[in-house]
Amino acid sequence: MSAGPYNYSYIFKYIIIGDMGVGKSCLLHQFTEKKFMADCPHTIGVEFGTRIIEVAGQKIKLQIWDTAGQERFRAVTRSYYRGAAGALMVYDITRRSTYNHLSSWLTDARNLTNPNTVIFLIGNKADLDAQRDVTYEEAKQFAEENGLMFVEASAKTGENVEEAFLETAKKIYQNIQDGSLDLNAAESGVQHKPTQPGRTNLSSDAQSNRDNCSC
Amino acid sequence: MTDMADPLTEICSPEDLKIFERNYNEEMCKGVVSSKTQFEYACFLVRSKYPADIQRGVVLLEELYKRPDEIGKRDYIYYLAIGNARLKEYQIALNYLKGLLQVEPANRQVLELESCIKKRMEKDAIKGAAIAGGAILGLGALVGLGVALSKRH
Repeated sequence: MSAGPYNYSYIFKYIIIGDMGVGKSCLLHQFTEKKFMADCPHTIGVEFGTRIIEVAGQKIKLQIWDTAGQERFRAVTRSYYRGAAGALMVYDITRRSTYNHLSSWLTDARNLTNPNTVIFLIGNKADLDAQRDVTYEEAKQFAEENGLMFVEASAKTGENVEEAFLETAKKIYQNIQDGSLDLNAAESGVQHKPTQPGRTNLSSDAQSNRDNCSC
Repeated sequence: MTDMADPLTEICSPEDLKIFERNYNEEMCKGVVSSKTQFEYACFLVRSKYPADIQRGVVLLEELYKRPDEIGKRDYIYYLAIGNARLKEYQIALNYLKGLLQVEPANRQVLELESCIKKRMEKDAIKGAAIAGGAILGLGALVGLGVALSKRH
């Protein structure tokens, strides 16, 4: 049995949301390419990223929709929330305004996704501790009050970036296992790709071809 | 939900499109459509599965681009590239991106859309060649049949 890079049994859809300039695209880039993009232009509408990870021995393809933070795109980006299994909500620990706007992002996330969507709060730019404007404790409390998972991370150093994406996937996987996330429900944000024993090679080849010809 | 997530294949929901169409029409009735409303409507139109919608989105974006003092020109050009690529007007789409890359040569999002469009062109070219190849095979079969029939006489 081949375990090629395109051989996965689930697809999870994620969205990344938050104010302009908090580092959403940089977090995505760090996660998919393991590199830091120093000067990153504003995202136009939405950007896409994928990476295959492993949770509990299962290969999972993360399909990540990184949304533009600019206000002018808010109406457009809202249409991408539907059917997200995970939402990474990002603020910048050196800019209090981005933290203050979290309740508005959270309202959107709650209203536009399903009740089982895992919401993970990320305080980005943790490497800039000297310019810190939001304390860890304060954000931690906000996360607890709202039932969110939380870390401070740095897209620049890579600290906790992997963790945020993986912990979200683990939580989604757990929700599938304990039955709280119904895979048959429309817009669960999860797609199961059962692999047939003995035909794994065939299906993984087909899978990889499809991935290669798309972009 | 599909396996693929890329700017050329993802489509918007018809319900969403209707909402922004309504906003646009309401402003149109009042006489002036704001850039914001027109842009939002155009963004959904170019993500429609119907070419007629995409075409309309392209027209609205071109009109926006011509308005003076627009801050969103970069966004309009990006969506013009998406719209044209989805209509298979690949060369026009690539020219728009070339313009964006002159200003921001390292813009990853633009570079990715460019490579996405180029892959699409290759795929279409292979498909075209396959169809042409099929036609030649067909012609060969006809000639063969002709020869066979003439020999019978």
